[in-house]
This record gives sequence, structure tokens and C-alpha cells, in this order.
Amino acid sequence: MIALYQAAMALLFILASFVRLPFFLPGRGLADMNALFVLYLAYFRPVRQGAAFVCAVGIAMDSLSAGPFGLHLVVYLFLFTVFRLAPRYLQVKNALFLAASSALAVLVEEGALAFPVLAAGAEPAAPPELARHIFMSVLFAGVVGWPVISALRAGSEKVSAWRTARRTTA
Amino acid sequence: MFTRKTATIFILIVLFVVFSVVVSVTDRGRAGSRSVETLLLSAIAPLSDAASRAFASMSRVWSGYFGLVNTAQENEKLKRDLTTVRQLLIEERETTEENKRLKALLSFTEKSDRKLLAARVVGEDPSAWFRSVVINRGKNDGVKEGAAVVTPLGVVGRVLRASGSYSLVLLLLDPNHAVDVRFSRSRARGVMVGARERGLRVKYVLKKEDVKKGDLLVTSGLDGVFPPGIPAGVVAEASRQGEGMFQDITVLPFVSFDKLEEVLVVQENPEPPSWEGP
Repeated sequence: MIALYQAAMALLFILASFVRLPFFLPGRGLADMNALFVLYLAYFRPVRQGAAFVCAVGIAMDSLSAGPFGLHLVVYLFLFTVFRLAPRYLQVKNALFLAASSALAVLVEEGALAFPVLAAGAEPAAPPELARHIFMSVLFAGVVGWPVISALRAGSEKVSAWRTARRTTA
Repeated sequence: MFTRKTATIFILIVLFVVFSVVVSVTDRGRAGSRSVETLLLSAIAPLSDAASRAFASMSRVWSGYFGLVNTAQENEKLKRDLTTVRQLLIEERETTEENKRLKALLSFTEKSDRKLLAARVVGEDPSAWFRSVVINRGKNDGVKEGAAVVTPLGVVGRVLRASGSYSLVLLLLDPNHAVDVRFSRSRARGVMVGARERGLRVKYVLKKEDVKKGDLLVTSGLDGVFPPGIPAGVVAEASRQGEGMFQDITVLPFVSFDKLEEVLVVQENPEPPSWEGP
């Protein structure tokens, strides 16, 4: 059941990234906010389950994006691995920490996605429009990171509790 | 039968009436009577007006007070009606705009001698680094990978990947996209590449070539992807200041990529140039 919930959430995040919505940020709208979902998996889900969903989201994004195939997958796995270490040393349920780590994750993601483009020489440097887009995305992630990840966590806890109650009743 | 007093009063009334009738008939047109009438009118009209206003106010208060009973319900109903009408208006505007776009697409399709397939944009790459869109036509509709994608305004991009019912289109703005173009005035050729939000750039145009701001660019057809003669953009800036043998040319596309909703997929690509001599 929890896997179904996570699959639904993963699909929701992917759709939210790709479907054309009335954007409320200047420029080209929101960045790829799957980084928040990856953070949720890294902080609050078991490693195997989290890794499986990270791979699924990464492959889905690679299929839908014009970037080199595997780029999103590698970036998400990198984020998952790095941020997976945080719960060992830090209180990951803290609102401030979630906000800061969300902003950092989006920044790292944007940097990692930009690397192959810049390395290939297609762009001499990041133009101001892209810098502004990245700044707004990082800011947005910082603002919505805590409520989004907390909502994902609360949802999974409710699903787990509901599942447990059903088993007990049965 | 009548007492003397009653008879006197009756006679006086009759006389008064007769006198009034006689006066009103015979004195019509005299200035003096008009003065009296005007005076009376000036004196009485304000009173009448005040009385009318008072009665009207009372009437309004009365009807308003009792009308309040239904006002809230009526207000709610009107609000609902207004919302519905607004929604209908928005839908109608959207339909009108869509109709215009589809008419333009249809007109372009009919004029073109190539087989074109209309498609709707259903998704967009969220990354700032890659510019692509997803369209609702795929291999099942005859879309092939590498096919050109255009609108009546100009070049859009090319199909990067195609699944059964959907395709990923690499937009002209992406730095990985290149089109062989020709300047319509000077006939000089170049390769147009994407530069994301900065528009497009044309590479490999020699400094000796006559290129000016405002020159129109069309596809040359020599890349084997885009049919020749499709508008690609207009020169925004052409500079010979840089080092090297080529000009630095910036181009503005005709297509507004952020507002892209419907596109046409060219199903028959032009024949690539042959190297065989005559």
C-alpha cells in the first residue's frame, strides 16, 4: 500500500513538472521539483524502497527530457546518496533544516544538470536568465520544501497507520 | 324643502363653480392669469415635490425593508450566475483563440505541398538547461524520429524521440538544435543554433556576406530535415567586430515558444542533397 502511495506521489511530481500549468514564477516557471521527492525518500523511507523510486523517477524524467539519457537518474541517485547521510547526524524533521536542504538539493540538481551542457561547450557561461531561473527555483524550493516534504511524510504515515489498522481488524 | 341657509350655500357654490368656469374660459391667454398660475406653481410645486420625495423615500424604505428578505438569496443567485457567465466568457474567448490558431494551421496545411500532421503540446521540459516539449502524436500517427516540427509562423524544432502516441520535440531554442538556413535577401547560408532565452544565433556566415538587422531567414532545406522556405527568424543583430572570419549574428524566432500550443509535424522530410554529379 505504501508503495502504491509513493508511486502515486512520484507520478504526481513528474506530472507537475511536465504539465503546462499557469506558472507563478517569472521566467520559465518552476524547476524540476522532483528533488523534494528525492529528499523525502532519502530522509524518511528505507534505503531499498527509496532507491527503487529514485531510479523510477530518474528514468521517467530522462525519458521525458531532452537531456542526455541517464543524467536525471545519476543526479537523483547522487542527491539520494548524499542526503541519506543527514539523518545519522541531524534532526531531519526540523522545519528549518528541511527548508535549507530543499534549497540546497535544488541548487545541486541545477548545477549537476548544467555541468554536461557547459562542459560540452554548447554554452560559454550561464547567462543571466538562467542564473535568475536557478535563483528563483532555489528560493521556491526553500519556501515549499518543508511543507511539501512534511505533507509527503504525513501522508505515508497515515497510509501505514491505515494499513496496520486493517491488518489488526482482520 | 330646503331651509333658507341651505339654499344660500347651494346657490353660492353653484355661482362659484359657474364663475370659475367662466373665468377659466374667458381669461385664457391673459398675462395676469399666467402670473397667478406661475406664482401658484412656484409656491405649490416645491411642496408637491417634497411630498413626492417623502412618499418615494417611504416607499423605498418600505419595499427595501421587505425586499431584504429575498435580497440575500437573490444576491447569491446573481453571484452564481455571474460566475457562470464569466466562466462561459472565458471559455468562449479560449475557443475563439483556439479557432483562430486552428484556422491558421488548417490554412497552412492546405497551402503546403507536404503531408503535415497537427499535434497539441501536452508537456514541457521543466529544466532550464534543455528546451523540449511533448506532443500528443507518436509513431502510431506516422511520426518519425527526426521529423521537422513547424507552425504557420515558422520552425519549431524536430522530433527527438517518438513513442506510440507521444513524441518529444527538441525546440529550436535548445543549443543542441541546429538548422541550415538562408538569408532571404542576400541568399547567404549559415547554421542556426539555439541560445535558449537569448534567442538564436547563426554561425559560419562569413564577414564578407551582406547581413543586416531585420533580414529574414528561411530554412534552406539542405539539412534534410526541414523543407526549404519555412521562416526561421529575423536578424536582431549582426556584428563583424569579433575575431575570426565569421559574423556574430543574433536572431529572433518568429515562434513564441512559451506560448506554443499546437504544432504541425512534417511527415515527409525533404530529400537530402545528393552528391552525385550530373
